Amino acid sequence: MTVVTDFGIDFSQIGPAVGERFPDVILPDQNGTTVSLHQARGGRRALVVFHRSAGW
Amino acid sequence: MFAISYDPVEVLHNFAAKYGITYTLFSDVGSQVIRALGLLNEQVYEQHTAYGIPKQEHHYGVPYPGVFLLDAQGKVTEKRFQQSYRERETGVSILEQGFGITSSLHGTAVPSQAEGVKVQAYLDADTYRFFQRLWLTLDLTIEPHLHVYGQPIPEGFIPLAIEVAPLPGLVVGEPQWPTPRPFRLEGLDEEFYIYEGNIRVALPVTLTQEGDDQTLKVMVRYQACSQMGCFAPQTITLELPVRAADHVERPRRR
Repeated sequence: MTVVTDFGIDFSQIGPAVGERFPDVILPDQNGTTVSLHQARGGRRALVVFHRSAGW
Repeated sequence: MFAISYDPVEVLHNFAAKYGITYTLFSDVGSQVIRALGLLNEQVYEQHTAYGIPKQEHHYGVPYPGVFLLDAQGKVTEKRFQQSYRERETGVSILEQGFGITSSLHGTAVPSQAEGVKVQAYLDADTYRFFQRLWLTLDLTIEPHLHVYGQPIPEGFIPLAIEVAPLPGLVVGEPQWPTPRPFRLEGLDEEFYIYEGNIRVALPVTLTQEGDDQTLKVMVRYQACSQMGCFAPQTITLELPVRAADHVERPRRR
């Protein structure tokens, strides 16, 4: 069945792959502090969410 | 828990304060990291066309919406993404479908049954948001000593099938079937694949039009058989009401 939002993207080919170490992300957080993802994780499991915007 | 978007720090700060968010919201202004990770949504303008809204240039730079689950060593163990910035899964389905964690938070389960099979059907939630992907889950209990057929199936036999009655704007994806077991009947050459006991089937449904409360009508068709013979084919029909969430998102219009 055709899904109207099927834009033909194969996510297995996009972004970090399962089994791969997630690259470190070093960016400012909501307080302007530069944070390293892996450091902040501190050896724990993590969920990394990509979203469109907190503004719209 | 970490989130990444192209918002500037101030926008994230206000958002975090408003919703009491204490986890890290990364500010990727200019989408450098989003791009470097290969997650830039290149189809955003096509998606505007598909949704019937004017091209919004400030939308360019958004990533595909989705999540990565990392283990203690920082390796990706799961990833779940949607094609468009509007199609997102519910938290329940990310837990259940993505990470195999059964959640007790679902939509109301609707039971029904016919000869040999009991069904309980439920959605992720009792409410829907425009374009949100909801998983419809059906838990089937097949009576002991009976089985129903899966695919592939020889001609003339009736496989377990699930259909959702059409509704305006309703898009139904492919069901995810459990693996059936191979089965041979004495005296017959054909190979069958069967389901027995308790099985779970899930299929994604998306309501692409904003609107009022809807009722999803789900039909489960099957033929229950024993070693000795088969019952007449049956169709179980279930009705699952789903209410429009209070704040259904509306497309932006200039």
